Amino acid sequence: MPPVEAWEKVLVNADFEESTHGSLGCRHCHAGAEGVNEKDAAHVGLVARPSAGAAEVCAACHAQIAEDFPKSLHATQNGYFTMYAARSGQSPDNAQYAAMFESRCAECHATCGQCHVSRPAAVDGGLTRGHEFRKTPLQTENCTACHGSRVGDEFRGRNAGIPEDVHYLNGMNCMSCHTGMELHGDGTTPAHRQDNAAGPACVNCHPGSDSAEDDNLWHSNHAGKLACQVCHSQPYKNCYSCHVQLDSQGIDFPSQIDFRIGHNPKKSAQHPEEWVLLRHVPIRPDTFMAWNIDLPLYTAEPTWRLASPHNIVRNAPQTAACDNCHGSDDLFLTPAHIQDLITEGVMISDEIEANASVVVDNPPGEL
Amino acid sequence: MNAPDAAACRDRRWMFWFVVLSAVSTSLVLNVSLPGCSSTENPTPSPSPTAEPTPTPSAQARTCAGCHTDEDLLKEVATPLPPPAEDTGEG
Repeated sequence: MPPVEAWEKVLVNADFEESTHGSLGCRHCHAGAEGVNEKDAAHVGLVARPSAGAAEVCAACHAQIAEDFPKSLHATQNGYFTMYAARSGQSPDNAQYAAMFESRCAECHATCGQCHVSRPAAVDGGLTRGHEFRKTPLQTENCTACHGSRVGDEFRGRNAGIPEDVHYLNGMNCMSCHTGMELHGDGTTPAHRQDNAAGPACVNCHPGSDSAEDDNLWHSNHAGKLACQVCHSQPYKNCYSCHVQLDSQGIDFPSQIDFRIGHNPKKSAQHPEEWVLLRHVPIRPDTFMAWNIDLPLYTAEPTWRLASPHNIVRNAPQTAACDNCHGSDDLFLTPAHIQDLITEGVMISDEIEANASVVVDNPPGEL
Repeated sequence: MNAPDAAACRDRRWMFWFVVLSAVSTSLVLNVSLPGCSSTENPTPSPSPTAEPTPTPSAQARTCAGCHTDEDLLKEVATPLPPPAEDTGEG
């Protein structure tokens, strides 16, 4: 997403002062000098991003959210720390990792303002809609500004030859499934986004579709065994190197569109099924070598992770016939497929061991 | 100079002073009653290039919103921030 012009980043609607937040007065949140009629002098002491840090100005009225949010995944990015600890054996509190994370990854921290009044820092910020405060973030300028290349492209059908998500076509947006409770948090810090109890679930809108009693035989036959996405997702983006290993083109290896069914790497209350979709994530043993950070336990975690592609359709290609899955290994993450990717140079041999728990040695037999 | 000429000259002098006094009194009345013309209003400061290192919106005092709602002014004075250190995003 290209950044907006400097002037547009600070343009305020003429009627903003009449709004609830506008009636507080500019200096209530932004400080700055009073009664000064010269640009630089007027901006002395300016607080450009009042919701960064403790967000005290927000807490005055939104106390509970302001208390919970700093512990949320959007604020902490705790999933990264969890996986770093698992692969390094080190606490993420160590100074080396903290310095690396702050310099390379911390821009992805979200603040109140980066979802509700401006674009996120990851796309260079700037007020949205003339400083209008919105309870619901903007899908394009807020959500997919960060979650764009995978989620955003999948949802809008921007991967060549792969149609849009049926929910998108029916006018739904990110907030139709992802609630404020999920995004603000409940005061706890989940280890990973897939551990967030407030995360979306298909059955919230499609009750009974995960039941063995469901009238739909596809549902009742696979209930409790398959994640919904196994049948209803389309091919999706997989990444094979990390954002911190860049070549002259800005990326080491391009992403690849693929579709792989595998064993669930981490069953939980939210994801109890045995069979799930897996997406390759960009991590290697030397990903953090520029910061002298090693990952001696690299093989302790799969590099193919549980995926929730955002390109859901009712009738996906794999459901056209039973033997697309039964009696065929074309759609599964098999040892042979991993070997092909190693030969191609996008995976490394260490990943055979790392993915032993999710790889499919014996795909389901013929019916 | 004959008598009729002297009378006409006196009339002209009266007319002259009448016109002058009328003009002065009218000007005094207008000066205190028209908005923005009273000496009791805040005088508009004269812009001084040396006293203002960066462009100002106008000579008139403005609020934060007065500048930040003025698209033309912002296009003139807004300063681009340095670009982010790295291209970021989820990928």
